[in-house]
Amino acid sequence: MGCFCSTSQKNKASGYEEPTVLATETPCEYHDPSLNVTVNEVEALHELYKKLSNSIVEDGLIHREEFQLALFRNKNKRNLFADRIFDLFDLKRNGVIDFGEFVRSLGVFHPNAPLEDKITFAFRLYDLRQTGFIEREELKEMVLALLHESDLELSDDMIESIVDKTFSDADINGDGKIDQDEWKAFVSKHPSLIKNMTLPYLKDITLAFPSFIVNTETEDSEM
Amino acid sequence: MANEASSSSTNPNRTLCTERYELGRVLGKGNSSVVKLARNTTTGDFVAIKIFNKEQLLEGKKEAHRRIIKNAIKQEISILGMVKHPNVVRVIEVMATKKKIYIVMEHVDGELFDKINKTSLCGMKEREANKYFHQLICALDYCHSKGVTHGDIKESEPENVLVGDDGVIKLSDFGLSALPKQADVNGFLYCTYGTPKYTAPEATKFYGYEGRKADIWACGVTLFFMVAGYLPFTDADENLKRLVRKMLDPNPHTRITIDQMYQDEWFMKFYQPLRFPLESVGFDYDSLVLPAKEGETGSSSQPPATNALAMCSTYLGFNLVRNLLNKVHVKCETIFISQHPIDDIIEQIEVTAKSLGFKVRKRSFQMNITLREELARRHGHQSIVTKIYEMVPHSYMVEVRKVSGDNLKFHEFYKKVSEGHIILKAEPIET
Repeated sequence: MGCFCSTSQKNKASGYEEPTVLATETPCEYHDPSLNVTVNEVEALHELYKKLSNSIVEDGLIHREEFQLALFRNKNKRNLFADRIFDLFDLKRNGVIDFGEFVRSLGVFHPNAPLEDKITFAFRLYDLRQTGFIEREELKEMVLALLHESDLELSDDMIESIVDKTFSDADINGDGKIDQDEWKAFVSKHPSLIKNMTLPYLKDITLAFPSFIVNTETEDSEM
Repeated sequence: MANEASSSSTNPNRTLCTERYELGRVLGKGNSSVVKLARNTTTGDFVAIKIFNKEQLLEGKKEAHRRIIKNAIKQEISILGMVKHPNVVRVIEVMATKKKIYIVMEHVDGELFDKINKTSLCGMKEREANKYFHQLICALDYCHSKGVTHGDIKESEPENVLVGDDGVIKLSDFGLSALPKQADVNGFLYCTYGTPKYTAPEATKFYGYEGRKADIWACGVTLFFMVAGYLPFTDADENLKRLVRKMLDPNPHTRITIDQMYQDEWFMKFYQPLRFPLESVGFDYDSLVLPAKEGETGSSSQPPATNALAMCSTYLGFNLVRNLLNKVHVKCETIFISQHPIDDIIEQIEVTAKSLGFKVRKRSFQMNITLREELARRHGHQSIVTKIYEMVPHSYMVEVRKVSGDNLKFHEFYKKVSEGHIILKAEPIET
């Protein structure tokens, strides 16, 4: 990911972030030209961010409950995957997602974002315990979680056999875990695995959240 | 991040329209807007950009009034984003600065007006008019079904019935035409029909009128010009005259409706369900054809295998992150798991599809399901793709995905098709 131009770097550098300061940061500061995204698109995302970050606690930061509320329309519903996504968005690991983290993380899902970033993000998502590998246990845990979510009971034998089969295809060196290179190879064999890493909708973000039109801070330049 | 930020020398002013588009000549001018040709500097694609002067719209208005106008602007833009139809000019994005609003649209290089003049002095051939008219009504029908009225249909300067080189009609300026005159001095919202000679009698009055009926009147005028040019259409077909008269009925209550037009003799004379290039129908952006990959297909009697990672990815794919973005949660794909024999699953999909008026094309274990053309009136194509994977022997995962078309119809389909199976609850919200 490229840089996010920030004029409030003092706050960043200190490692401590005053919520009120963060809340007043303008979207322009997070504009990333390398993504080929315009300030307006960031402003539109900010309109969305304002909604999400003030849905329960009005402090301009997305808390886990607010994240769950957005995903499930239910702030108490937790889910293994939702938790992992929250943790990945929370780059600074301070338990909240600020606007910078939000823009940066969603940036990976932009159709223009590099494929490499998408592959890496997905790997980190499945690497539940962040060991640098997708382990057999982790994969089984995920399958169990998604089956559980669906009130679907498969016999342990069946689950074992699905996981075994996956490992026999993906774990090339047979060490019982999938490393980054094996993951990349597996993705190139099954490109649909990262289909979920692209949200074409991000291209329409200005039409989806048009409020920025009246709030924009973008100056006029010579046309 | 702080280090990266300190080295940045990006000029925030560069981030405007000019960053992505190169502006060219003026294509047209309206009351408070100008339309310019522009080119996307990355893709090289031509677009048309409609530029409004925000200041001018708000100038000299009281604060409360300004708020009303601002809300109206937001609402109009949301409408533009909703309307996606092959016969409606596509709005690509919207940009804004403190002073201006830029609406970026697909550029269509031709006007219905030119076609009329080129054809002959006395309008275009009946058959040609019939063809254009179907498209116009199809677009209008679609928009009305979304609760959107046009409010300013006309094929004279500035034209908003456009025709591409391929003969495809594109209606432009949906809703937008109402922008500059949304609110009067008291802040009372009203909206008169755009252009006097296309204005239905009831729309010239200051009380509310039914926008859909006014659109039909305007289409009636357009049809008249198409077939008559600027001369009275004395030679015209009796049925044609009758249709025009029914559309130009001064009483909006007895004026013909779109549904009635589909029973009209002249309208149906050369009627053929419209065929749209698939890419232009895309509601969902994914392509209709999910090609069965050679390697994954295996023997034709066995569906492709899924794996645990693909299951996780699918599960994640159609909900979580996307839900963050969607204001309205629309379910356009689903998965169910079935332990029925594979032939039964396929049969159930086929029978359901046929009972709902779809036709089915099968290849390996993928089925492309499209609405039969005679039913595809308003939404153009309705397409759904289903794919069957084997999880473990005797357990199958069936993916059902809407490619384009109406959500309701899709819901109806997947509800029926997954009956008696276990649905993977990846998407928790239903609309």
